[in-house]
Amino acid sequence: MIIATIIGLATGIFLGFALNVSYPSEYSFYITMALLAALDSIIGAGRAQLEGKFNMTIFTTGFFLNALLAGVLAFLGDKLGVPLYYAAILVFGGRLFQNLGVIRRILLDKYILRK
Amino acid sequence: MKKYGGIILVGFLALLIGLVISIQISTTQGADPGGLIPLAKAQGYVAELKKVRADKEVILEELNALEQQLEDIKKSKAEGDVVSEQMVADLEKYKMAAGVLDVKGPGVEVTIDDPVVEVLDGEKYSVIMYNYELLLGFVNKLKDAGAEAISINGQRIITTTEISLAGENVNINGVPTAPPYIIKAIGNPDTIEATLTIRFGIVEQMKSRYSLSVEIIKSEEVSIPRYSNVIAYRYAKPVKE
Amino acid sequence: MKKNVIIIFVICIIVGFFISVSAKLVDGQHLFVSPNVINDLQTTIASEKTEIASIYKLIDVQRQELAKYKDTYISDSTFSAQLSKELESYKIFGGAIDLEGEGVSVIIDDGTRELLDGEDPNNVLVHDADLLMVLNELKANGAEAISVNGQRLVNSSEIACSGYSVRINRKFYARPFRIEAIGDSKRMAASMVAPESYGALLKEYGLTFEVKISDNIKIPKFSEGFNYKYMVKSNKGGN
Repeated sequence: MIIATIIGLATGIFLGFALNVSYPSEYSFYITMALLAALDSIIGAGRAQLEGKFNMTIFTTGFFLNALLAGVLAFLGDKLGVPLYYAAILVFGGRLFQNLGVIRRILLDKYILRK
Repeated sequence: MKKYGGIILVGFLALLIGLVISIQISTTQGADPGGLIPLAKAQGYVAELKKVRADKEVILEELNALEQQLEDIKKSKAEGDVVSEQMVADLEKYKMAAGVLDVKGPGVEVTIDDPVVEVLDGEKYSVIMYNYELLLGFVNKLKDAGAEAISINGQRIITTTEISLAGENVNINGVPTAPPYIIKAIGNPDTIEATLTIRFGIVEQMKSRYSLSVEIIKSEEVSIPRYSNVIAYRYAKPVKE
Repeated sequence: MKKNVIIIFVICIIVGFFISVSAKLVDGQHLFVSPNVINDLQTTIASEKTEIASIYKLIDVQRQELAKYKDTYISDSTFSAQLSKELESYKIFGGAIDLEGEGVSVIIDDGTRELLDGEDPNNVLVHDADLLMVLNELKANGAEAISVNGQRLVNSSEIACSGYSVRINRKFYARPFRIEAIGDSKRMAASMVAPESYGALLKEYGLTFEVKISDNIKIPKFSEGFNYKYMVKSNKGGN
């Protein structure tokens, strides 16, 4: 799972640089926010799988909903003149580190216990 | 009823929230977003500006083509009749006098801009805008130096041109403008530059008292656009003989 | 299990893809820009749009003109008459014809009051800037033809105060300054005497400032010729 994640991301990044595709720059901010939410979902999936609790439905719904919400929140914040995107950064960024921490602990446990 | 009570309450609150959100959105439309804007948004505007300018070029071409057509018709119709030929020649002269023709000639190009740092209470504060009478004085000095045609940020300055502060902008000929101010003038480049830069003159005042940045470039050919609106007098009529 | 891994893999590719596309697009530009930039851009966009609207109006006028002249059955005398009418209107706008109509006349002069202790004498004198501001306000309120001390203002008219006299259109005049303007007399007069007006400010400083409405203001034509030494018609659009 983790390996699939890393290889997948690497491939995607490479593809993005190689191909000459782009989108209107006015949206780049919102897309970036959605990406943060997406990354959090993916790392969360990695953790769930290690804990044996992975559920595809929860993952996909969470992934799309959170990404959408992050983008919409950033957009709304723009219109209202308040940096609502801070919420997305704090929550998804925070969870990202949290999940990474759990993954780290689980992996260490597995390999230290084995030893 | 109890089951639905909660749902109704939540629904109602959601409605209220949605209402407040939309009111907020329309209220803050155009208001200062409080310090920083994503660059991407600025790029969106840059792209829009490019497009609008391209549109303008296109219809200006159309206008010029129409006018050229008219001119050709008049010239050919007038051929042979001395009186009409003279009138056609005079027409160009008085159109230039009225400011409705694009013109070119030797002159100067002056760029006036705000000093680099000017933040008052986090709000944008433009020195030159709040002292727009400096622009009036500047134009007057140009005329004093013999300027035959003048434009500010693409707006031709004619006798009836007003400069006014409208909301956040300075309006010239009713068109909103923003710094930096690029002023072009056709005339004798040396005379104009000398008149502007005499000691204690207007340029020195702008630099020392107001810390504006003023750059004067003399040029062999300056292009100044026509006054781009329809002129029509409603009250002034020729004196009855 | 296998299926899940594949799905995650594909999603990761997509996310990675967007990451690099966004990175290329934004290219490390500072995420933020000051609101000034936005405001200026918006202003410029608004001004270009206003210009476009005016140009459309001009195009309409030209189309109408074209319709009039294109008629090949137009007789010579009709053509002459049309030309003559068009010439007259540009002479009017250029300042070559005496005009009359309702309007206002404004008298401005140095103040005669006593100076306060240590007060700058400039406070009670009329300056170029004062005249320019008053003229600007008249123009903002619809002034069509204007004269100062009997001199018709045209596009190149200067106003230069020096010592005891003022130079307008290269001629010298003594004070007081008499500004006359044809236009909506009530609107112009109101702008002259409004509490926030420049006229009110001058009065506060003790200068003489009088406004009169008239049914018939006469503004003479510009007395010099219109011979330009430097400017010529350009065939491309200026900007």
